[in-house]
Amino acid sequence: MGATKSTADILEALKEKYEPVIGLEVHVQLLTRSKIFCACSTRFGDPPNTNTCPVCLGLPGALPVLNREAVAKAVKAALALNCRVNRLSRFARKNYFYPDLPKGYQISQFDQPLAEHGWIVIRTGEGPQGGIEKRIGITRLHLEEDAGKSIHDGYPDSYEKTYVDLNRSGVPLAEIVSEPDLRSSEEAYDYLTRLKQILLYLGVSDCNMEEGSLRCDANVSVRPRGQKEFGVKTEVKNLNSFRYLQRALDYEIGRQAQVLDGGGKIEQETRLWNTQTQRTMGMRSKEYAHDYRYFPEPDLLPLVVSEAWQEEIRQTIPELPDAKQRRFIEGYGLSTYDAEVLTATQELAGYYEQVAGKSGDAKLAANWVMVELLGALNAAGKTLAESPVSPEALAGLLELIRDGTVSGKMAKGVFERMFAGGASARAVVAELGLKQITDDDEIRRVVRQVIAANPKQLDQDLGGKKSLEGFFVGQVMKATRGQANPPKVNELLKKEVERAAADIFFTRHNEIHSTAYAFVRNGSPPEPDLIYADKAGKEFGVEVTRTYLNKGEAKFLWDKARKKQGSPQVWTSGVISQPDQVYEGTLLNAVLAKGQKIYSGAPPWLIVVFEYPLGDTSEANMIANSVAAKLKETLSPFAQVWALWQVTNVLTAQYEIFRLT
Amino acid sequence: MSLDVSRWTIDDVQEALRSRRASAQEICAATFARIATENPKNNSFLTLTEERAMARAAEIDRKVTAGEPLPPLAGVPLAVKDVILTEGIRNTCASRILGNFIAPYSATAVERIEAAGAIIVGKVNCDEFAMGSSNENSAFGPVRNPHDPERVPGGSSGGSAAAVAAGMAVAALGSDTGGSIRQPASFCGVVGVLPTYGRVSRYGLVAYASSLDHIGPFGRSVKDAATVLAVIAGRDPLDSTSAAVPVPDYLAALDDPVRGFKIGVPREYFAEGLGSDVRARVESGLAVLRELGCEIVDISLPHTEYAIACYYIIATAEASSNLARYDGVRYGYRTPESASLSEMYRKTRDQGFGTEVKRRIMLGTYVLSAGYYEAYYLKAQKVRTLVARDFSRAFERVDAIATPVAPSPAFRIGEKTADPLEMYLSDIYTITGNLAGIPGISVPCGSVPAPADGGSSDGRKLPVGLQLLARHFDEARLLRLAHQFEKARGEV
Repeated sequence: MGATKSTADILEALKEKYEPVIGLEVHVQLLTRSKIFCACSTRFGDPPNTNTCPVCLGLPGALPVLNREAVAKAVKAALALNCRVNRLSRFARKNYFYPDLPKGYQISQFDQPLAEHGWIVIRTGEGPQGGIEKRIGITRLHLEEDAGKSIHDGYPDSYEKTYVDLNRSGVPLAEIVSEPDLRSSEEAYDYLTRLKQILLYLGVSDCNMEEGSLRCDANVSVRPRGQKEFGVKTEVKNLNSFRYLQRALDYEIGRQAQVLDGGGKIEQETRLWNTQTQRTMGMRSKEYAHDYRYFPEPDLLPLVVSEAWQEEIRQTIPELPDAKQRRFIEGYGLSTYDAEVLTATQELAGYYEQVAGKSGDAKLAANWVMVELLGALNAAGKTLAESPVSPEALAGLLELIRDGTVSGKMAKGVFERMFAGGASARAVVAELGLKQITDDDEIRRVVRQVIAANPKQLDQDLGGKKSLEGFFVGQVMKATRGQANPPKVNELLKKEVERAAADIFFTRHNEIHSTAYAFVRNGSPPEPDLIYADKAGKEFGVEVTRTYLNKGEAKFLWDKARKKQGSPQVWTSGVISQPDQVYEGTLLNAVLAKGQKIYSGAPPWLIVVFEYPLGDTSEANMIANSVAAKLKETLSPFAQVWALWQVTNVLTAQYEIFRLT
Repeated sequence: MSLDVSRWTIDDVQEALRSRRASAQEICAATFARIATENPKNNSFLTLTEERAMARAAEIDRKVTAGEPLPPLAGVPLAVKDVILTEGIRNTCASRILGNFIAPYSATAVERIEAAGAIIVGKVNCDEFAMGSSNENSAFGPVRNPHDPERVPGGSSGGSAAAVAAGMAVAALGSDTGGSIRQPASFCGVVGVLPTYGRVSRYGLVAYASSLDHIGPFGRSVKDAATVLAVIAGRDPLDSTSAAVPVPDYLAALDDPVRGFKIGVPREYFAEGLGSDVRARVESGLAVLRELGCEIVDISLPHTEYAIACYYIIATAEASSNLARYDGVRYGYRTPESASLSEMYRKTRDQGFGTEVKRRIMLGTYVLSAGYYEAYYLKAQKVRTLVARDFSRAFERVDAIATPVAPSPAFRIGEKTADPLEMYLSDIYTITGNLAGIPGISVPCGSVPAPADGGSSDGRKLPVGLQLLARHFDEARLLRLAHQFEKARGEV
């Protein structure tokens, strides 16, 4: 492993020094029912040599007749790739001997291809906008026929025989040759990905690499960075998966850079990517040095694609990924990333648009399609076409979220059921008896029960050691079987904790000052939050607030006070060495923050839950006095301001109160 | 008792059937009887299809008995060159490499003649893959000229011409890539037609040189040739190069007057190399045309001298590619011993092809090779354009062109085999028609004494043909002129 690592380091250094130059030659099978020069079926996977006839078997006397549909599909691809389609192009014979090439030549196009001078835009590299855009030139797109397939194994006598299946012979191909515009294996990958996406959008090929309907060869050279001239190139073949493409290119780039760096020369040759050894191997060049002896195919007339036909085909080109992404970003307000994910295929984009349209919430739809739907499909190993949840059904669920029938969290459960059983959202909600609880009184009742049932947790929370908000929310959701509206729970929990704090305060106040203040009701704005009354029934308002400390800072201070400071973390704010000043500041700020509000009726009381988990009662009192002194000079909308403080270092919670104004 | 059909025309067959003078089966049997005596003398047939022929003849007889209308070739015994596929019948191309090849489908031309009622009596010999001018390049032995068994019948469609000349078939199909119908027709004293390129489908014709290959008919009369051509002509969706030009009624116009036709005589075709006897016959033929009221006009086809070179570049280039499929992998001959794929290819092709075929494959491979393509193939294509332009310019002035078919009458077997170039020159007057893609015909124009060329010369006469050429798709005029020439000459 050590040796590998150092090789990797060397390669990294070479990468800095040398720039790769890559061009791809991509063959795609055109999605036609019959072959390019005969009426045989193009179906994949049929028994060997069953989809054959005199023409594709290369029998004596047979002649090719061009399939118009293959031309139409190639022209469609050419136009979508921004190529200029030649009015007149010509077929040519490429001559070579091979057992799976039945005529001894392949009918292709050579010096007069169907289309030239195209380009596509790829998005490549890292970045906040999903990388930078780069235009990659397309040299040419031409039509040709596929050869058959040599089968070297799988038969009992494969050790001594090779079988030939000519079902593929004569299947129409478009060869798409890029300019040498690619500068890394990643760019090559991005180019192939985008090319495939466009072809899939067009419906001209199924681009299935396993079945060989998308194949790729690469021309690779490297040159010292800054050099203008291209280096000597090699042609790397057998790159039949996206993964291999990148690996093979990386290998070949590294190999060439090493050769050059060692003072060697690159030999112009064809190299095969070997998936076993993960290397490219030179084919013995003499044996494979082909002179294809191209000449015009005399059995076919020149191919004429009229302006009118081109225009007719142009009309059939659908909205392409680029345009769709722009529309999603501008029309639906999606991020570049989301737009890219949702336009990955035409089917997904279509699905999304239906959900967005029917649910009326494009962003919610985007999240649900990308996270829940794609996640569930992925986990189930299903394609979008196989999704048990239709766009209408998903939109139906989103409507229930939007009208508050179910919470987002509940909706996830509903979605799981819909995905498993194919039922509609409403049916699942009805079946489970699910309905979101949005009624304040109902939620408040549950919140109160939860607080009352968990006095210890309430004390921990008020003591400022740690926040138990999450705990209480969890308890409430549990008690409502997840049906409580989460924002409402949060809001009411905060109020009820405050209410509990106020009750604690007045219990203590009544004890010390022999009063009999008692809770009457919740105030409704602009009244203060809580309304209390004395024995005579005279009401007064009460507001509760809490001091809030940065939790990390609180932990630091806590540990510091208990000499637990082992952590290397160092706070840089100057006051931190004086914990009491920090706490004094939080108390003062809490009071001042509340002082901005105007309340109806007589000035209310303000109770501040003072989270000060460090010192003893006298220290807390000193802080309170210090704050009180500072408050003397300020105007306050409150009749009285009090601090409620939980006494530290006692077994059961006790509270002390300090008057601040 | 024994029926002699050896000089019958298509009309004779039709008349015999209609009048019930002879049944199709009788005609067919008589034909096979004739073949049995004649074929051993001239080796025209490579495969006989007697059983199949008799069954089809019985089918025709059933129609006759039922009083059904008879198609134009009903019961006509017809020979097919062994480069034109007939389903279920061996097709050798006179080559060892296809010695065991049974055609799995029929050529369009074959389908059409059979649909028209013709009885295919067998597949006839030729030069291997139609490459040759003497029928000596056959893996199954040369064909002998019915007029002199020591002489060649011409080639490459030597078997077709000889079969018709020897009365073994009323008509025949041949193919013409560089004179291969017209030259043997001339040597054997029968009529042979080169239709316009695209007039007759090439589907099922084993390709030699695709842009020059034509299928065409042989007959003992122009009318018979016209009848067969009318059946096989016309657009075929299976051949992209076949033309959608309507086929006129050739027979209906055969007797329309030809008075006033301008006949061009290219001076380049009467220059050095043309035998004086042949020249004399052709000039007498021109006199016949003049008597028919035609005007004979001197014309020039200035690029004629480049035609042979041009032809042997283009034809061999295409052949080198067309014959690549005979590799021993799927069908045909495969060498019994080879240790590797490339050895299998080499030995199969070395053992399977004859010398002339290998020579042309090598020539063609050479002219297409990197570095030579421009100098040879592209240049030849330009010359081809010039040759074609010579004709189109001439046809602005004349209605037809009359020339000799070959510089000499049938030569002796073995006479030219040692010198391929001299053999190639025997096609000098016919090759231009293929390069231009125009229609042509070879019609008998009398005979000349067999030259005293070293062999026995017992005062035999050898036939000589007159070649007539016309504009693209103007077969009607060509046939009309030839038909009236034939009639007028007979009266001379």
